[in-house]
Amino acid sequence: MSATLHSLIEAWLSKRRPDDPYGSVEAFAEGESSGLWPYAIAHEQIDLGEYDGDYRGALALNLAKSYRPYEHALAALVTLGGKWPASNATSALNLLALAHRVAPSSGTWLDTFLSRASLECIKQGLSDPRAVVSEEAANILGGLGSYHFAGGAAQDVADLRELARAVVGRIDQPDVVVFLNDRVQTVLDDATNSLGTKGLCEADAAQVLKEMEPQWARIGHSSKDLEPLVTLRTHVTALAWKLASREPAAIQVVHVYSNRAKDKEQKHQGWSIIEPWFAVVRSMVQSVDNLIEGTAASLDFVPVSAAGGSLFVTLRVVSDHEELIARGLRAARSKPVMTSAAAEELSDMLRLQGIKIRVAHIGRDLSSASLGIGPDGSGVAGTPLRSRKLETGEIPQANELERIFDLVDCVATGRLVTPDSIGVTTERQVQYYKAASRLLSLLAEPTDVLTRTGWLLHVAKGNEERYRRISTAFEASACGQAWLEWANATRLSEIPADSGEGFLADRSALAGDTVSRRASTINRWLEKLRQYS
Amino acid sequence: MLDVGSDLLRIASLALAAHDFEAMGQNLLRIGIELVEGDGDVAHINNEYPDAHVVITGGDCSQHERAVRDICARMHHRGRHQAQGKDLPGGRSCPWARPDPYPAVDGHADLSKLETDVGAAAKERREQCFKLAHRFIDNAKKSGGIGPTSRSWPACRPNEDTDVRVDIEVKYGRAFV
Repeated sequence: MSATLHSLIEAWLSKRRPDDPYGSVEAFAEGESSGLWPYAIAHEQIDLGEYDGDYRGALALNLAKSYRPYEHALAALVTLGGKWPASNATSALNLLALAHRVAPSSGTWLDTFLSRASLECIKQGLSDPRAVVSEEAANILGGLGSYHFAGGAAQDVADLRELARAVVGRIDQPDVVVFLNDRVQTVLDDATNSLGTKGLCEADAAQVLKEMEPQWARIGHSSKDLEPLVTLRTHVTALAWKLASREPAAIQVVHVYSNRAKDKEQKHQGWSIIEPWFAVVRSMVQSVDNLIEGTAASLDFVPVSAAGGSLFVTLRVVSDHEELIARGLRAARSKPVMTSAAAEELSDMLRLQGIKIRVAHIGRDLSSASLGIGPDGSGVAGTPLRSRKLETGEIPQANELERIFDLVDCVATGRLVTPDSIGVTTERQVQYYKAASRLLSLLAEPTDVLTRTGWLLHVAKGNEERYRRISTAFEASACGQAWLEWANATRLSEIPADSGEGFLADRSALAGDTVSRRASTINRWLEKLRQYS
Repeated sequence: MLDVGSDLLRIASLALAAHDFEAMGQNLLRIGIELVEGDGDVAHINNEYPDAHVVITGGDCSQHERAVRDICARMHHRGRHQAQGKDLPGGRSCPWARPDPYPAVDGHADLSKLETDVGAAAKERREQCFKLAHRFIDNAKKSGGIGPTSRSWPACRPNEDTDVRVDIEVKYGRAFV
């Protein structure tokens, strides 16, 4: 049984030594025979949004040393296809070594994209202000074969020629200039003669992503591999679109998925997630850059592609504030929760539909940011809560307890739960009441079948008995228990009236207007239920 | 009592850098330490560096082991200059291994030594390669030195006959400061 991606990531995290990145990557590569070792490191790089650290340089160096095209091509694409390490000359040199090493040989789309990433890398190297990097990029350019240009266009050759001319022109040793120039010009002339394509176009991104499917099955094959695999796939999807795109815009991929087999059909509901996502990004930009009026208003998204399976929606980001978006994504990742109302709305929707999203954002300069959001019980942003605060999904937002009675009756009698059947006006409200029923343990997650408590509520005689039973259910819920603890009370009747806002401000991860809106709900519940507790 | 001072330090560090334990054994013999490969009821050196798995026989084994282990542990900055090609079977190399970052001035000196070692004809065939390697050292110094990397001049094209080449490999630590 080969190693799983998840187990490799765990192994890598335990073996990595921040005081010796090169030594730890080398030891990890030598100790793992599965060929998947680069993906564990690449996954961490994507997750952290790092491009300038030593681990990336170490990954590039070790990939270059032991490159096996079939096993490592995808990892090489991720490694090369990131932002240029402007403050780390060693990493830059090692990326150039990898760009040289990954000479395409198979004629696959993946090789073609790898060639494109390599050429971008060499252009960046030639443009680097540090002579140790730019002169080495010229040396590497002089060592390319025509296959290296499989993903290139005539414009790439022209750009490389111009950049190399400038680098070599700064060398003050005439014989070295002649030597390097001869090699570079020969390579570029050969490339001009052999270029059979006009470079990549967006249709090619779809081709390469389709071709990669068997690769993903090879890289991740256990249930625990799902999350890291989603991270890698989402990032590579965004990267492929970016490399194939002719327009200088950032690319964002929103990947909608579920890790529960029964939710497979729900993955296809993902488009409804995309529009709320726009609002979340706008709120992120506003919070990151609240000094600039109207920034968020100038931010727009143009959908360019969608693919099935788990739903991949590719968006072109139309904005001059890409860095703000990336910073917003990274900030959201480092906090336990995103606190804007838009983020909460999106989170609710994900919870109600039982799905998650992973977003990869690739900027014009190939900088990347990645964010996972989902109802995984560990916070909206998918990072562990540092203290036990109530999550948004544990706090009700269904005002009328009678609607919950109606919903329970519907489920108990096998009737379809619709807005009409429970006396509300929208499907979204239906979802809120279902969520409230779940948090009161009246419906089971994720099946939404009646629990014993739900059955007791259904068979209760008269409203007084129903309120008494739902009061007990609320006291036993996470929200009710936390409120009792907060108020130093043992029953709802002992909790001070209208204290919901103070309680949620202290004991929940909610923020802003959301606190008062949710407080309004639980204050109403308390007002109704205290007489029955 | 064996002097485990500068001679041993120099011999062991060069041998470690070059991965040349035969030479290390011969050199250590001159100062009274015998190194043989294989197991024995004697001290094994330095498990941290698998390549340095050697066995000391004779003398005070534990003392020698400690000495060489200390040396290995202190060699945080290692690498080598190499000249390769059909005219130099097995290539020629000039390694470094030292407890402190490798200065550019020493890099130039060692590279120049390698140029001399390969002989006039081989040197002439690699004239531009050596010049590029020296430029690399100068440029690296201007950038504050570099970490682990592996460079070749010229970078070879696919299917190109790599007959004439000069390499610099920074294996651990920092170089050309």
